[in-house]
Amino acid sequence: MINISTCRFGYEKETILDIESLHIKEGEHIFLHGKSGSAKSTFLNLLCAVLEPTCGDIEVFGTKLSSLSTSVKDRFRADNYGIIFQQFNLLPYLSVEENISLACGFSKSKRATKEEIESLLDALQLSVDLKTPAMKLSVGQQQRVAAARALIGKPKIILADEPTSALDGDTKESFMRVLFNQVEAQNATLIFVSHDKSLASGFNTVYDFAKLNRVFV
Amino acid sequence: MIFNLSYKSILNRKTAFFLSVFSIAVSVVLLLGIERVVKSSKEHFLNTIHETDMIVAASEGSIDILLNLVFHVGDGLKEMNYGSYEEIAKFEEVAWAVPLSLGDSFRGFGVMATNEDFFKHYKYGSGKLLEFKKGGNFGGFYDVILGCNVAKKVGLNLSDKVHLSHADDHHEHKNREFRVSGILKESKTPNDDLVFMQLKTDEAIHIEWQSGYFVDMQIESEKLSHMDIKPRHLSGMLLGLKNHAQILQVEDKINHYKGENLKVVLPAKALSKLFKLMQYFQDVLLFISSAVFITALFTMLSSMYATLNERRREIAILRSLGAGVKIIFTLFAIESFLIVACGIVFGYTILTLLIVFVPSTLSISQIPDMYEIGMLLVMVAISLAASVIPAISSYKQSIQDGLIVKI
Repeated sequence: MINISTCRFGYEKETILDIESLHIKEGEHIFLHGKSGSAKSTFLNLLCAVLEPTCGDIEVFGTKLSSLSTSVKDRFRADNYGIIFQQFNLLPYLSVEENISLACGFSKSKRATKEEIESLLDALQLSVDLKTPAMKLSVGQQQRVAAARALIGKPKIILADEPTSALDGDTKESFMRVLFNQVEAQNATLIFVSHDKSLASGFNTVYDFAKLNRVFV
Repeated sequence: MIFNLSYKSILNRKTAFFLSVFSIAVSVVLLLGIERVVKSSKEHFLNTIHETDMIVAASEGSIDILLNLVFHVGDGLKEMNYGSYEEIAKFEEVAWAVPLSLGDSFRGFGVMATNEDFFKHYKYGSGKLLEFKKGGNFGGFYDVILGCNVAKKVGLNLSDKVHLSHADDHHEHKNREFRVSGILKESKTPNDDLVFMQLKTDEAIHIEWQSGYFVDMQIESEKLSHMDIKPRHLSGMLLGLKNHAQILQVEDKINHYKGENLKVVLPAKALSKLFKLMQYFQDVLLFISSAVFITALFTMLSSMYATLNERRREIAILRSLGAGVKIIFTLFAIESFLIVACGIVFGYTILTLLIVFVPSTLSISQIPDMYEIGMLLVMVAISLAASVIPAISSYKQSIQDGLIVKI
C-alpha cells in the first residue's frame, strides 16, 4: 500500500534522510523507533506529502505523491490520513466537538455526525462534554481528543508521532490500548513513531529508524 | 466552518484585534471627518452671499473686498465717496443698493454701518433673508441690531443699552448710548458675529472725532440725531440689478466711473477664487488623514505579524488536516476584513456621535455620499491586499515547519 524506494531528502547538499526501500501493507501496524535527530519527523512530513523527497518517490495506494499538485496533496492528506502529534494537537479556542469535526472540514470523504463523535469518544474511553473548550482539558484528555480527530471519518492511514511522550505511565498504557482497539476496529494502517521501545509490543513490524535511514549507517 | 474558525481564533487574540480595530476607527474618523468638514465648509462658504450681483468698493483686490465686506475680516478698505454710492444707486439698471461701512467695534465684535435696506436685500444660502429673532429693523436714530452670537455671548436682550467703541475697544463712545432694537436669528453666516448700526448715525457720532482724537463738542445725543449729518464715506456697497444679464454692462459703467476709481467684485467669482486658495490646506488635511490610515494599516499588519509565531502551531494543525494555501490566505483575509469592517463601523459611529453632539457653526451632513463610500471601499480593498503579506509569511513558515513545530 505504501511503497518507498531509494527516497532521499536533504537541505542543500546535506542529505538527512536516505531510505533504500520500505513497504507497508494495508492494515499493518508499524512501530518506528529512533533517537531524536534521526529525521523521524522529516520522514513523517514526507509520508503525508507536506515535504517532497529530493529524489526517489513515495507511492501511496498506487499514487505517486510527487505527481500530485499542491492542492491535490492537501486534499489527499485530508481524505486519507489521520495524524496525532506529540502534544498541542488541538486548537485551544475550539470545543472538543469543533476540534474533532475540523478533520471533516477540509475533506470530502470524511463525514461525522454528533453521534459518531460521541461513540468514538466512548470507544476511546473519554467522557467529556462536547462543548468543553480544548484548553480546559488535561493533557491525557487532549491526546484522546486528538486520537478521535485522527480516527474520525475512518482514514486509511494513521500517523502517530510520539503521541504518548507527554503522558505518564498509566495514561500512556490506556491510551495505547484504546488507540490500538480503535485502529483495529477501523482496519486502518498505523505508523507509530516513538523513541520508547517499551511501547513496541503488539505491533506487527518494528523498525529501528537508525538502520532504516542510511545516513546514519 | 472557516468563518467560525477565524472568528474563534480572533476571539482568542481579542486584545490585539481590538487595538487594531481602534486604530482603524480613529483613521476613519479623521478621514471622513476631514472630508465632511471640508465639504460642508465649502458649501457654507459659497452660500455666505447670494443674489447680490456685485460688490463695489474703492480698493483694489477683489479678495480683500470680499474678506472685508462679506466676512468682516481684514485690515479695512480704502473708503469710497458717499456721492459715488448715490450716483451708482440711481443707475437705471440697478434694482437696489446697500451702503456698508466698517470701522467701529463692540466688545470684540465688528460693527457694520448700513441702512434698513440691508435686511431687505442681503440674502444667503439658497436665497434667505436675515430674519429677526426679536424686535425688528432700525427705528430710532440710536438703534443697533445684534447678530445672534453677539447677543448670546454678551448677554444682551431687546431694549438693552450699549456703548460702541471707536475703531478698537480702547476708545468708547461714552457719550452716545445705543438701544438694541433687534436680535437676528442664527444664519451661520459672518453676520451672526456682527453689530449693525445706521450709516447716518455712524457719521454723526464721528463728527466729534478728528484725526483719531476725541474732541468733545458738548452736543447732546438728542440734538445730534436731528442735525441731519450726511455721510461722506463708506467702505463699499452691495448692488442688485434689475436684470442679471446686464452685469457686464454695469461693470463696465462703474469701471469707467468719472468720480473715482472703483472696483467691481462679482461675489460668486471672488468666492470660488478665495476657496481655491484654501485648496492647499484641504490637500494637506487629506494627506494627513491618509497618513493616519496607512499608520493604522501598519498597526494592523504588525499585530498580525506579532501573533504569527504563536500561530505556527495553529497553522501546522490546520495543514495536517489538509488545509492548503487557500485556507491560510482566506483566514488572514477574513481577519483583516473583520478588523477594517469593525473599524469602519466603530469609526463611523464615533463620527456620527461627534457631529450630533459637538456644537459647530457648520451644518455637517450626517449621511455618507458616494465619494465617502468609495473611500471606505478603497480602505477595505487596501487592507485585504495588505493581508496577503502576513499570509505569505505564515505559509512560508508552515512549509519550513512541516507538521511538527519545534517550539
